[in-house]
Amino acid sequence: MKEHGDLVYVDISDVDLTDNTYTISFPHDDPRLEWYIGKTRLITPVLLLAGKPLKVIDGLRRIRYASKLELEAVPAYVLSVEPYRALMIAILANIARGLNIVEKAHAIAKMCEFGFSDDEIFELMGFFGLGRSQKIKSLCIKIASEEETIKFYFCQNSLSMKTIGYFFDLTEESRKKLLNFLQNKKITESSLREFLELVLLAEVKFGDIPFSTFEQAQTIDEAKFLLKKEVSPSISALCTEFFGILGMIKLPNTTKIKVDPFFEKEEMEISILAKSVEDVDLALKKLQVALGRGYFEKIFALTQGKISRA
Amino acid sequence: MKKSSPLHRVRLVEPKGHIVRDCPGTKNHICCGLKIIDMIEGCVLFCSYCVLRTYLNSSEIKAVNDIRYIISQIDAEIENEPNQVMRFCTGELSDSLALDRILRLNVPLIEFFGTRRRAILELKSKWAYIDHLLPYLNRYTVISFSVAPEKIIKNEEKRTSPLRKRLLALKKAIDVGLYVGLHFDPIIIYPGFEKDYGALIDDIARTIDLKRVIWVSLGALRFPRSLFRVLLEEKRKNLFFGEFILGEDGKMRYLKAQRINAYKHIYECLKEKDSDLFIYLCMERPFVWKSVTGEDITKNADLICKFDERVRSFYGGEI
Repeated sequence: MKEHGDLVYVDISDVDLTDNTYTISFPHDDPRLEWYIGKTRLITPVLLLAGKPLKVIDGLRRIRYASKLELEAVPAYVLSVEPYRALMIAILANIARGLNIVEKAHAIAKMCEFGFSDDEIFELMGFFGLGRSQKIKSLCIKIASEEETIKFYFCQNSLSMKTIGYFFDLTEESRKKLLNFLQNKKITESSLREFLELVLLAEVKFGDIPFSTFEQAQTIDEAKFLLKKEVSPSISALCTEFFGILGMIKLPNTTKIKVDPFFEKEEMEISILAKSVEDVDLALKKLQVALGRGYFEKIFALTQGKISRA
Repeated sequence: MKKSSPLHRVRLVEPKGHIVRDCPGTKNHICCGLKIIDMIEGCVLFCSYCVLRTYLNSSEIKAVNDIRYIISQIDAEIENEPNQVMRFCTGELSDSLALDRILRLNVPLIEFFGTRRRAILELKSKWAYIDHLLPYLNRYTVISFSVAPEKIIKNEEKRTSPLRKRLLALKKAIDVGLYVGLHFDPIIIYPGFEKDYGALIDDIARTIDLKRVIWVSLGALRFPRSLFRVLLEEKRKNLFFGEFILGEDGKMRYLKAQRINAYKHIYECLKEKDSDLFIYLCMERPFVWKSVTGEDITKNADLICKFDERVRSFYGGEI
């Protein structure tokens, strides 16, 4: 078999444009590439697997856009290689441009389909920075077989494998419902992860995800707040009481009273940012009033775990 | 060797550096000053909540092959602290007994402590087999078992010995003249845990002579952040009834008020059975100590001092 084909022009009609055997690219559409090809009518040579019809090893999007522009032929290298080698070439040809998480998952899942050994798969996973575990390998397979909209969400938000893993701890139905809720909500990776952890915790605790608790939330932070009230009612009650006390003290914005977020340390931190003697005077007067009314005792009681208004 | 034997995963290794070390303790938490002997690293019992699940990178179990090296380090530690009754334990990175019937590493240690008579060896376990040690045991070894309600043992400590066997093994140790220890660790909060722990304490008091219990520890469930994720993934409902916070040491633990409530209940049940029991809290804050026991234990030295008194009251001038 001849491994290295010469550069030739191939009729697009000889190529199977529906075949995805070696394709790892995601999303399937790339508007920037389409625009570039439309403007320049230049196609970087594609890699094809010899046969009738020819199959695309690398460059399916390029050929599809060329076909859309009614170009008749594209430059190509036609390779005569075994399928497993064709897949390896497809993956390696794409690595240089930097793969997103779904493309990495596609690559690993396809290697599994083609019967590559664990050592070979783990080598590539290591190269992708995914680690070398069976667990991540299985996760890649799950991602690869997910619906396009879900994969698109992972890509669009540049989620890490760790965060994506949370979604796959949920049932398919819950995953879809949750992703539906998350659409159009601003997230950071850490806020999403915290939210997902709360969702999973709620599922473990109550046997089901309490969607009704948070589905009306406008932001992920609001959803987190509502879920926390469900899964950690005592901690939420402590927080509510603490902020209630702060509301009653009515400190100037430059004076802060802080306790640790879990009410574990039996202490509070009081800080005053003053720009004048008057600022100091005002802050101290407010604190003095708070002291006289017993608010500090109440805060200390919270740090000791005593909730009066749970 | 049969493939199912745990030995096929055990590797004997040359000892390196400090095998004997201080318990790492935790900032702002009271530590009892136990010395750890890292003779074995890894465990065959696979309790669901065990920190080793994410702490150790390998499923392989490593056992140090040079017991004389270990003993020389223990001896040096004892020499360095002439005024303190030191307590050593092998059950930090492994279970003290689970592999011992095969590896036989405890016998030379037991013999050393019996000859030295200056410190105590604690063999802490959930594996109730001590018959192979019986000819060698002396009162400078304390056999101790972690105890938990049967429901927890069945679901979360699947490969360990059932409670009944643990208690009978303790009885056997007492019968040959040993003092024993009890560890309510981890204490797990779930609906009805008060009743189950009460029944557990009844079982203990019915089976063994509490006057022979040298110490009892209480430690609420805690684990590293990384294990929290694993436990969620495994949907371990039993472990998530309480509310968890991230402690100062980066470990997840129950909310303070819930810890105090659980400790108080168990503490009082135990004290009802025998008011002389020496009960300590494992890695807790001074405020929690005060709330549960009424005692002002504000620093490690306070607890270590209490241990010294307790041990001396049991051993008199023989230590």
